[in-house]
Amino acid sequence: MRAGIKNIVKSGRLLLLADLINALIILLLAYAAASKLWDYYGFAQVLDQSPLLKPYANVLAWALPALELAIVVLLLLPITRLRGLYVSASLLIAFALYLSYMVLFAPHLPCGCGGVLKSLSWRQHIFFNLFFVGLAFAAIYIYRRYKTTVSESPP
Amino acid sequence: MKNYFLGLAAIIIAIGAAAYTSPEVKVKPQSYTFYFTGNPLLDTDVADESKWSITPTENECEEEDNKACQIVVDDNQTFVDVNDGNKRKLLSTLGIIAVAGADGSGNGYVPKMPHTGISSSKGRP
Repeated sequence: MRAGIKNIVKSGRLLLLADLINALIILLLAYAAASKLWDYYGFAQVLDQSPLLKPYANVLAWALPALELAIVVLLLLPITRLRGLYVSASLLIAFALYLSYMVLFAPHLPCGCGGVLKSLSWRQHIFFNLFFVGLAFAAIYIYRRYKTTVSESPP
Repeated sequence: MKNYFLGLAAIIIAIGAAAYTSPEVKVKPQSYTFYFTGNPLLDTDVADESKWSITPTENECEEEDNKACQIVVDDNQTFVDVNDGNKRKLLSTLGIIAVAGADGSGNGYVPKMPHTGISSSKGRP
């Protein structure tokens, strides 16, 4: 009984940690989307220079910030939060793969990331993204564990 | 409400930070003249940003707006292509629209954009 209560309290603290991670990912995605929309032409210019994305620059210039904002909504609502974390982790992994491609094939080009993230080098950006992928998976683990703990505890 | 507090706070901070760190809008952006290199009888050519070049063509442009010839765009609607000798090009996201020339005969197209960027255009007679 005592161990069970302790477990839930511990999970409650972990839950706060997961909520903080969730808020941090919302901050990152909302900032990235707002920066791209604020400097739409600047973002479009960078996409136009990318050998990989140039054919899709027209669509990506608005679709990417739109996708980021959609994920922000998923992360904001408690009912879709877990799905939002999976999608944001997938998007960050996709970004990391793209960044790796750029490091290998076009390291001299500027980054299309918005705001202050532009000041990061390609390599720094890969580590930055992977750090957030790690955080997303940590939050997924905590939310899933919390769900299990609550469903296993007696009413 | 407690469930939304952290997320909403993050969104407000993000928008504020993006507004603070976004580049300032230039009061008077530099403008560039681009010259049409395609076939002015084809609307697809006129609407194609890659058919406009910063290098002047041999054709002389006249005031009559019958066929695509040259356009003036702002700096932020162009980019420097590092893969093509640092040549300045039109953004492929500009969305140029080809409209029938001024004589209305349907024998030529001139560029028009929904954005405010093209400050002037001159056509071929």
